[in-house]
Amino acid sequence: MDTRPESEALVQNGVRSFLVVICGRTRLAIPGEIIRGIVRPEEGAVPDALRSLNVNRVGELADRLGLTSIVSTSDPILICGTAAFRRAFRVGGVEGLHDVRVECIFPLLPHFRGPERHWFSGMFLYSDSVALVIDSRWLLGQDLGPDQTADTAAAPTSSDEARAGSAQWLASDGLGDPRRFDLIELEEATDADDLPWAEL
Amino acid sequence: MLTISPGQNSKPAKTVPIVVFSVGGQRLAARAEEVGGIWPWTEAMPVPSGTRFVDAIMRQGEKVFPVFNLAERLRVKFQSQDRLWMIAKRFDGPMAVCIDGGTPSFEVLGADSIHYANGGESDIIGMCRIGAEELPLYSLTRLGDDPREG
Repeated sequence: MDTRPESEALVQNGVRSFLVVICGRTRLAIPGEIIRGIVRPEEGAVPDALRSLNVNRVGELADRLGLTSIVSTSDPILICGTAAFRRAFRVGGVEGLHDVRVECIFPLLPHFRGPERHWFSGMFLYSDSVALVIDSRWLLGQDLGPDQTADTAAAPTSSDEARAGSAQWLASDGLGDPRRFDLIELEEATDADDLPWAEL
Repeated sequence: MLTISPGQNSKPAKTVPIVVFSVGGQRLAARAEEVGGIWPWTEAMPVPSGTRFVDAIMRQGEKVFPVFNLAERLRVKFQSQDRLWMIAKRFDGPMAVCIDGGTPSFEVLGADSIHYANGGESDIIGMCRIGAEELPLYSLTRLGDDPREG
């Protein structure tokens, strides 16, 4: 059972949505309510799109967690955040959105007694493995670090809005031609093997 | 009819079932009652962790076990990919421990074949003698406890 107060997590009909990503050999589940978009960067350069989204730097999620991962500049970039600020993280791959019933999310095992209890708020069975639920507050931090700036503009606050409106939202920021980078529309996935972008 | 009955002061000989296994070639022993099973090896998933020797999880069906890195604890390396999972009944719940492949052996030792250490808080609780071999006896319930490591 997820021990976080339900008011802190977006729970709809007893279900939480997560974006499952890969860092090295570890599957991580990012709470859907903080996902603002996914960007496949142009080779060799940080897209202008990120700057337009008030994100000045792309962090490596694997590095943040101390995971061994081979990084490529073509790896997808997650834009995470709230209405107040955003952060960008490069990940090894994106497996898709996954809805999980709250009762299927269980706490990190008690044998883990270190700082990882702040990094992860739980875990759930995923495909033939396990996905670790990233703690939103730890991932985003409450302070404005050097890789983000404050954004007072309104931003989608629900995962559904983030999914459906990502292209529109980016367009409204005056990015011009959205074909300058690949926008990956988020779709609900029940099984990673069925995902059309399983090759990402 | 004569029957032979034990004397009033005789006591049944105490025996201790022991499992003998190896990690990276280093042979160890543990009490059989502390072993929850031996399973075929499957790949574990690394978990970023600040907890010493606990750095992965292993899934077996619908169950998830934390992995105790006994090889790191012993400062040894596995010599081959032929491995097994041993489930250790630690005090805070079962843990998976990767051990060398090759079926671990089961021994029943007399109490006089085991020399327990005096007190201490280590997970090494003594030595056991099996034939001509002396092996360290680990307490799987206290796996990871080492008073030398703060």
